[in-house]
Amino acid sequence: MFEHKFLSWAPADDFWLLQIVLAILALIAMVLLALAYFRIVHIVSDVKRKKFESTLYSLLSKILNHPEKKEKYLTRMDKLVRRRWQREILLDQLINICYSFKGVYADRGREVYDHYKLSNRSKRKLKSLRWNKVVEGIIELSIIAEKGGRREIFKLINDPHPEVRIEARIAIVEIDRIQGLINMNGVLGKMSRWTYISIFSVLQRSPFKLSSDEFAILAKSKNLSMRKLVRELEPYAVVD
Amino acid sequence: MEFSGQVLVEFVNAGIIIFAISIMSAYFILAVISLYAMRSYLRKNSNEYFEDLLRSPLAPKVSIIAPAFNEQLSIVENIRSLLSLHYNKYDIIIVNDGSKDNTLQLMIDAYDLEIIDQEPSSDLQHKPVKNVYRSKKKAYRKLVVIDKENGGKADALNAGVTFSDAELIACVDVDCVIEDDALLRMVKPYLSASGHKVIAVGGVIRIANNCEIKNGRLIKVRLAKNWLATFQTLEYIRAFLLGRMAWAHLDGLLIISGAFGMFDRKLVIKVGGYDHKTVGEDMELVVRLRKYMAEREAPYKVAYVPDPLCWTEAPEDLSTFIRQRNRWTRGTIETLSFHKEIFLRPKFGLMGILSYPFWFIFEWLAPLIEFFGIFYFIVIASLGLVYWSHFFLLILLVYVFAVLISWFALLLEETTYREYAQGGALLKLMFFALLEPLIYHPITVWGAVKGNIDKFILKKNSWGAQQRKGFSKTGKS
Repeated sequence: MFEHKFLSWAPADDFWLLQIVLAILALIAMVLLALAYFRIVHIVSDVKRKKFESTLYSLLSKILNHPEKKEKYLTRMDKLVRRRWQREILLDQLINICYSFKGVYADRGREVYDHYKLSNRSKRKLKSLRWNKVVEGIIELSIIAEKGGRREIFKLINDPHPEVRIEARIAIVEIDRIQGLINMNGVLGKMSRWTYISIFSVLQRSPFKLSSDEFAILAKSKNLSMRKLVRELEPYAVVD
Repeated sequence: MEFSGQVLVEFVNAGIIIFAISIMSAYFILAVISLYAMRSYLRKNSNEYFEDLLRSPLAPKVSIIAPAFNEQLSIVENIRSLLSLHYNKYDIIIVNDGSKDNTLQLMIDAYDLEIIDQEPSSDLQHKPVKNVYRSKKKAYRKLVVIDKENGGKADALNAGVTFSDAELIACVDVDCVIEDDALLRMVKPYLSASGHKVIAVGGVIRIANNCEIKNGRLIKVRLAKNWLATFQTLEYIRAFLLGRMAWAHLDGLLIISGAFGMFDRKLVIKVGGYDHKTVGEDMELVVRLRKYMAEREAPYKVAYVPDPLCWTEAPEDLSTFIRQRNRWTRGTIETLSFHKEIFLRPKFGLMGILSYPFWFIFEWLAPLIEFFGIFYFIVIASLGLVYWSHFFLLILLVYVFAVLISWFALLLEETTYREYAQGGALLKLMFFALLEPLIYHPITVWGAVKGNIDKFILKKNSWGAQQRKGFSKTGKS
């Protein structure tokens, strides 16, 4: 059994110990390779990514600030944004623009989003088997596409995954404001405080009108969190 | 006689192997669980927007409670760092625990404090409060300083809880550097809970030695230069990314570091606050909170945020380090002894069946077993009863496993937070992982053994002298 010199060093009774040691050494080698791989990938991709990002930011800022030269800059951007990871970075930037700015900047950001038909990409994410991708899709559609993804998102407000559920509910209010709350009223289950605070913040971001009819519908909601939310919203709303 | 000696040796050898294999299996399982938990956490947080919470008037109020004892070297800077955290509704309660140095006067001068008449909001026991101060300046209105007689860390924290009116309390070590978004990240699990109550949230502590710190803010992460601090850096990465991450995923976390932890204030008051009788008040409180909830059959969770949120100064000299480990061991022993009824009781859920026995066997007893193993080895070696090939194989097994777990923790760090990205840091940590079982581990074992001696033989029950260098003296700007 122990023909090999190294292996025959261990007595027969302890051979299993030697096997465990060898297995652990194999695992150590794998971890070492993985460490080297990730570090090298990081070094290489980091340089590439930084270079790409700086060019992208400069082009995006030109598109936002000089709409008259939009076509020229979009052509340049077409040459820059080719790969999937590049589109994802562009998407992230557009979300940040539309989330942080309202008005012309957000509209120009949306134009870039439409130019690259990124809503298809966002909608595809809603069908992903990975819940974090679904959440990504919901956020993208609600912030940039606005009413474009409403129907698909609405189906997710009682998704089994809590994170998907939370984001879908916030997104519906982000898209439809008070009408979104009314639409969800009948189907909404239990709401965490995170959802509650997020919905409240979304509505509070800009002035909104809550008519007496809408107020009455929401105030009579069977959902306790919804009733609580309406009480909080009352001072901020313009009641007819 | 010879026969019975050999039987005894074989019996003990079998015991050692079973213990070694079981401890290694436990750590291996924890490593696999933490890998899964980390992936899940990162997925969850890849789309995190905290702006809504940051602006919201409905965000829960948080009181940061930081006891200060002889902290004149860095107290002003540290408070400045706490004042600039990103959160909408919070106040800072600094509890001057009878400092003998200039800590109080420095705070009064730097923040223009005046005595105010503030009534406590609860009646937790603590040493008498001399005065409560608040700043006259609007910019520092968040700051409240409680000046009280010396009573130890637990006593100071209780005083802080007493004067807080917030929904949540974040108990921190005043000399720590807290990340800007730490409160936002810690509050999130508390608010996201649905169907259960989050009673406490733990954060990750990292070593700040040699890091660049300016105005109480962490500017640049650098690996420690000192050998002992480097070993601790490796140990903290392993403990927080592997061990605690896995326990949190299983909901069996028994400890939230005293350097940075968040609790439901009302619940803390209900269970009687921090216990003065232990030097491990952080662990004891978590166990007591869990016990309280389990006894009432209330659904609860102790959450954990694996993002590096708090940076602390690690001891760089052996005597301070051994004193720290000594205290940690005594804290563990005291907590486990105070709550021994939990042991293997299904009523307490995973805490009773798994967490408590794990801590009892692998945290309390393991260093003692290792220590007595050395004596045992000397005895059987002198009697000529050592099977050398078996001995070397066992030592090799333990060594390679220790290296595997440390390197695995580094891999997890590399693929997640990559805090030590500068050239050479990773290699240095990997090299230290090779040395750790030979140099650092025996020191930690000795610290733990001393803790047992102090607890059971010398009957010690104090914190022991703490020496702080202050960040400015540790090579940081």
